[in-house]
Amino acid sequence: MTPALPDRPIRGRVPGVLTAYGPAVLTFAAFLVLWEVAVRLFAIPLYLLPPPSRVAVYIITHADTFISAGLATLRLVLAGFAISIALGIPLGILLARSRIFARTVYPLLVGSQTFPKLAVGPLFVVWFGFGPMPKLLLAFLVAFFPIMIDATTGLQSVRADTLMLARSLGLGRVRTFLQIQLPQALPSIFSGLKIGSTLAVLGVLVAEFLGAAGGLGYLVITATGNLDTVLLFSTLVIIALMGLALYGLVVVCEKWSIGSWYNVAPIRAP
Amino acid sequence: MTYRAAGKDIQALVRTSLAIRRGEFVSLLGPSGCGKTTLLRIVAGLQAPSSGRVSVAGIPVSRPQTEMGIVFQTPILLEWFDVLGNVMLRQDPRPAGRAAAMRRASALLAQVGLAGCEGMRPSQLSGGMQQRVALCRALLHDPSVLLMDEPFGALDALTRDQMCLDLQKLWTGGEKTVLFVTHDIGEAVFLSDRVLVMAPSPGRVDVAIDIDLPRPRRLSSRDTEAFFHACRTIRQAFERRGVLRDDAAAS
Repeated sequence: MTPALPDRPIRGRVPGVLTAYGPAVLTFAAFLVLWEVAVRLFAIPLYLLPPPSRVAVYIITHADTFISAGLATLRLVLAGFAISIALGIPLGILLARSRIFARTVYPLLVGSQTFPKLAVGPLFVVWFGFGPMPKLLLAFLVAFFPIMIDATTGLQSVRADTLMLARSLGLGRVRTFLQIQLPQALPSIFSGLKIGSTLAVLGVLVAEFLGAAGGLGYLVITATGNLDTVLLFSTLVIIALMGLALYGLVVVCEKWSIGSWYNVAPIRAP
Repeated sequence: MTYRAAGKDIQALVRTSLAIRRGEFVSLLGPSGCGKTTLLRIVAGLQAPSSGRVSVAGIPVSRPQTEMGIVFQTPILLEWFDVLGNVMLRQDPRPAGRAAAMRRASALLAQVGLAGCEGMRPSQLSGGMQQRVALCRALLHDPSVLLMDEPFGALDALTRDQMCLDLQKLWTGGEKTVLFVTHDIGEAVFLSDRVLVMAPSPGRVDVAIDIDLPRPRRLSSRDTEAFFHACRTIRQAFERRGVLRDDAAAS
């Protein structure tokens, strides 16, 4: 008998956080230093490009502004993302399993994707005003499609031999779906969720640009109107952190649910 | 018996009639493409014949024969379950009978030398170990019929010898009927009570050869005159059908 493989396949070995992200963090730090030096050296005016130190100080001294605006936006992003998941995954399953649905609705859904969805934002404001509704709708509209498509793709790429095995064991439809098909679709479903998470942030922000009484998108518009570039950069930093956190949350869920058998890597080195 | 492929009917098997005694170990031996796997899948109810009928124990086969145990060419283990979960796949997840099935799964794993491997992942196992897990999965419900489709074909020669010995032990001489598909003459002779030699295009059973080797068979059984004789008889059957051509011998 050939000997067993090592405990984990080499590719699946999780590198230390430091070795995994250390080089990238150092590169980013070097970029910030370069930025800081360049702004001071060439005396670039503040309204064009504030130095990172200025932005950092601004965020800390105005923390309460960013916390309240950030929470307002985050609530909408989470709600919009949740709606996208709640509808996107069942639709993806339906698409993979129902020939009728795939033939009648799927071409329309794909066709609709060529339309720039953010362009209907103003219409939603006309219909629903400045409340949360246009934000949730826009977030859903941009985020649900990749979630749905990746769920479908995942279910369609189920290996044929595993289905034959299920038939030979007499597993039945429900257990075949839960024990054979769904686990194989999960890696693809999670890649859809990762794309969807960043798009949900985008949808809410654009809707906030169009009309809102608060939130990070509102801060961006205000800062631009006043040519307050320091506020603008600070808000962008908060937005970036929010996107990163949401993406990280999806990766954590992925690791927790399929990490024991699937090589989950948030960023794959080429 | 025909099946459709690439838009035309291909006659995979003609006039194939198998009568297998209860508790008999029968091998289907033949070259690639002679319809061995097709025949096995039809017996298992996994593939419908486009013409012809199959009955097992007098009952026509019209749907997957879930009471049989089947081992495929590849282990087909599910990597999202551990070894125990894979062996237990057939078992309903509801608690009734689950504890007993779990004990039986562990006992089976121990019988094939995988005691204590219940919690391991399929990817941690070698090819031979994975196929052993697949064998345990097929035997979990103690089937009276075991179908095996070139189960050891992908393994190295040493592992294959060990698997043959283990399978003989599990077969427990006469309690299970085994239909074993292979293209390996030595493997077929070593394991079987009877070898059905198949001929290709169209696939058919050419001759049936009884193997009169005492059981249990040992590795040294392969050095006996009876073993050589059986292998020679089978080889000559292949030569007669043109499956094997030895040009040097002809000239």
